[in-house]
Amino acid sequence: MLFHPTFKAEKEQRLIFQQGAPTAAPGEGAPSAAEVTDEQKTEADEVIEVLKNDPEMAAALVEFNVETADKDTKKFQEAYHVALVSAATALFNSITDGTDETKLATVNTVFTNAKAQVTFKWESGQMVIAAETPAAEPEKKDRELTKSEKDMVEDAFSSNPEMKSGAERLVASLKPGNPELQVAQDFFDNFNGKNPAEKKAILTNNPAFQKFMQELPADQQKFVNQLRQAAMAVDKELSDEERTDKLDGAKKWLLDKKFDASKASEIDKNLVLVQLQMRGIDTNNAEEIFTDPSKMKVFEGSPMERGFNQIMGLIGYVLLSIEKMKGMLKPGEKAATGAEKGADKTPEAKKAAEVATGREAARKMLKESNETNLSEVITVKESEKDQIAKQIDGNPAAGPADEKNGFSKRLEQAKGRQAAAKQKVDILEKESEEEKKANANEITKAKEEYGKATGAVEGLQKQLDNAQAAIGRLDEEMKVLKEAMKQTRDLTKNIRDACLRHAIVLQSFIDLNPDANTLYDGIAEMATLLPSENELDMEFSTMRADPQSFLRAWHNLGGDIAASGIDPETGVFKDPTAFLQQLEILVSKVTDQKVMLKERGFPIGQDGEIDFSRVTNKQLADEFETIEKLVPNGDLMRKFSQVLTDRIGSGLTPENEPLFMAIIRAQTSELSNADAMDAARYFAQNNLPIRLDTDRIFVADFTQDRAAKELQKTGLSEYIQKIFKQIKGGHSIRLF
Amino acid sequence: MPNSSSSTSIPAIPTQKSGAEIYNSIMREIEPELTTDQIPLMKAKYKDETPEQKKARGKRYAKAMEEYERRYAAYLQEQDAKVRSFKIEAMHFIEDKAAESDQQKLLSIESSFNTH
Repeated sequence: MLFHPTFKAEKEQRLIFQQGAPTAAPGEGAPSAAEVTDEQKTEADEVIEVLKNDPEMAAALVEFNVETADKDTKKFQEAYHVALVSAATALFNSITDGTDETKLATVNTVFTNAKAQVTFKWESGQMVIAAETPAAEPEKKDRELTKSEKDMVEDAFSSNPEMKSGAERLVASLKPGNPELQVAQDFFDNFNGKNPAEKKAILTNNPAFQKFMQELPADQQKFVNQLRQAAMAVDKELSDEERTDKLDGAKKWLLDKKFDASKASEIDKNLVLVQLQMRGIDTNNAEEIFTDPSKMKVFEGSPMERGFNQIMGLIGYVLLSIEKMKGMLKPGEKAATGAEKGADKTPEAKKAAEVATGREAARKMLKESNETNLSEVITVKESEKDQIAKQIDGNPAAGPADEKNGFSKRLEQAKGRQAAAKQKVDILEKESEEEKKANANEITKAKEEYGKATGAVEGLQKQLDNAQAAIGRLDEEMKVLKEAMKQTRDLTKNIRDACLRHAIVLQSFIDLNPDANTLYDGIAEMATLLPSENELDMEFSTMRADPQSFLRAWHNLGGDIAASGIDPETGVFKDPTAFLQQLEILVSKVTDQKVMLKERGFPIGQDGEIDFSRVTNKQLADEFETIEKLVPNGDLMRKFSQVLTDRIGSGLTPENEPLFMAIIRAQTSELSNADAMDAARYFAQNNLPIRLDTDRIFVADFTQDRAAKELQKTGLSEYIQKIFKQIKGGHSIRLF
Repeated sequence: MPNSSSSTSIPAIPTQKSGAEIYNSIMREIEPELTTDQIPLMKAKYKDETPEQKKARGKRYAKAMEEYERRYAAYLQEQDAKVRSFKIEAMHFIEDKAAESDQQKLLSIESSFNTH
């Protein structure tokens, strides 16, 4: 029995349970409704009275109510947390073997397996919540589409593969009986009722699409929006046509630029590379690209990876441009890539520097620009945009008249002067020849005036166009940067969550496998040290774990270093997606008991499985406790039990002594000293050949045959049960 | 403490709503004009109202606020019950885990030593 009805919380001396339910701890947080209402009522009632005559007071009361609700909801949330901590603490206390660390690991494993949203840690002598993850979306199991559904989708989107795949996925995610399925059906009926030309127009022409949307009821509009999102999410590799287009575009761009890499500075080379990256080019073979652009390759991968690569290029471009503008890097000086910085001027370092890709440059720039992150870059852009907007609209606070009146107003004024000058010229031109002769100077002057005004109009128009184009460009850059921030945030969260999840699992195996231990250290540290949302970089240089050890462990566990996504030299994360995929495989290998046992010397049969007929008693005995702790319900434990039964079933002999003792040890290791002494006393009183040694381990004396006789009399199972029954008798201890 | 129903997972903690979300979800059903997004528009909306109209509106708001208080109290009680139920489920889960472990070990040792 884990929770005895009389069990009290140690410090508070209150009952943990009353009438079958847990009691609240002091300050456990959940506010009582009555208590809160009483507190609020006095204040609120006063305001309500005033409100009757002055409805404007509503704002204050609304604010008060919102604040109260805020406080209350926080208390409820806290109460949920306290409940989880109480449950975790109870579980922790119920585990009687192992160190605090292993117990905590078990608690966390139990909670993780139970899909709890929290993990726990031990802090200042008490259990606290270490991390909280939002509730995961329930797993959606897609179903097979029916034939009529397939036909319906095919009929609608045969000309648009993305929409077709998206629609198939979306419809498959709707289970029979889901009202949205009827909405989908209605939508397809509507859409398929159009003739092919109308359908094509709806799919390709925005006004036609908008018109069609307006015809649809609200629920079908919602479905269409889901459909569009599903289509966008369709994981589509690059088609040959797209690949060719990208390559041709990038090559043409490079050719038009007439870029001579042999004469360019490193920062300019990197600027070109990041711009190629923005065009979807893989810039890992930078030198080849510069010497022979036909060696250019497109960046392959999922749309998200490709998008990420392009965004990295853009960020690199923005940062390198800023650095260049700021003049932080003097002409000819190398870009601040890691390989180029410092005093390392060896040929290898130079070579490494030369092949530094734009992507790495971007990362390095981010890392090394202490004060520059994406949000700051956006702020710079916004300020730049503000400045340009002031140039266009004018700045009343500015001193000079030209700055007070922006391009727009000055252009308007210039156009006015131009029109007046033109009018004057026209009037003078219409005069008689004699008058013209007399006014020759005036005509010339008026024409000059008109010419000047026209020049001013053209100049100002050009300035206005440039400024507006610059604002457009800045808007576009900020949009992409914001998207980059979002993607970075999502990616970082994915890595952090995955590392945390795997670390919790690996925690149970750190004592068993040194490589698992190293891997655990690395990813646990990553989970805690992952950079803030706006940074894109993560390196071992910032961690205690060194990349060589980490990758050695990675390799020892069967991982492919080349596919680890980590640069073995620098420890830089090159490909987080690859890293997470490999990590998943490695963790499952570590936690695979069969793999673990193979690595621990268990004999393997021809079928690749453990050959238990060749497993020695000592091996079984040594692993018994481990297996029992790690996989009490698994197939392996069942196999172990079967082998143990077969081997011990014949009776207790010196031959199977190790097995017998392993089981005794496993089952008695949880005993307190006092209970162990009771057990030893029992053995002695009953003249059994088992005694407790100085390390509190039960040992059997097989030199006497009393045990064998006892066993013959009672049978082994009964014999053991008898011992444990006796040990438990009279004590409210938990044996197992 | 034995538990008849076996819990295989910890109940999920409900997503925390902001005070404004809670307030608006209740008030929207009573008097939409008093939701947080509508309050800032109030002044402009009623700039031309007569003193009588203003008083009538004040009474309407006061009534709405009183109704809100009642509903909010009920909401708190409901949340309180949810927290209690959550605690019980969490503890049952832990008990079941311990019971499972006990049972498994008993079965394990039984099968290991079963000499027939």
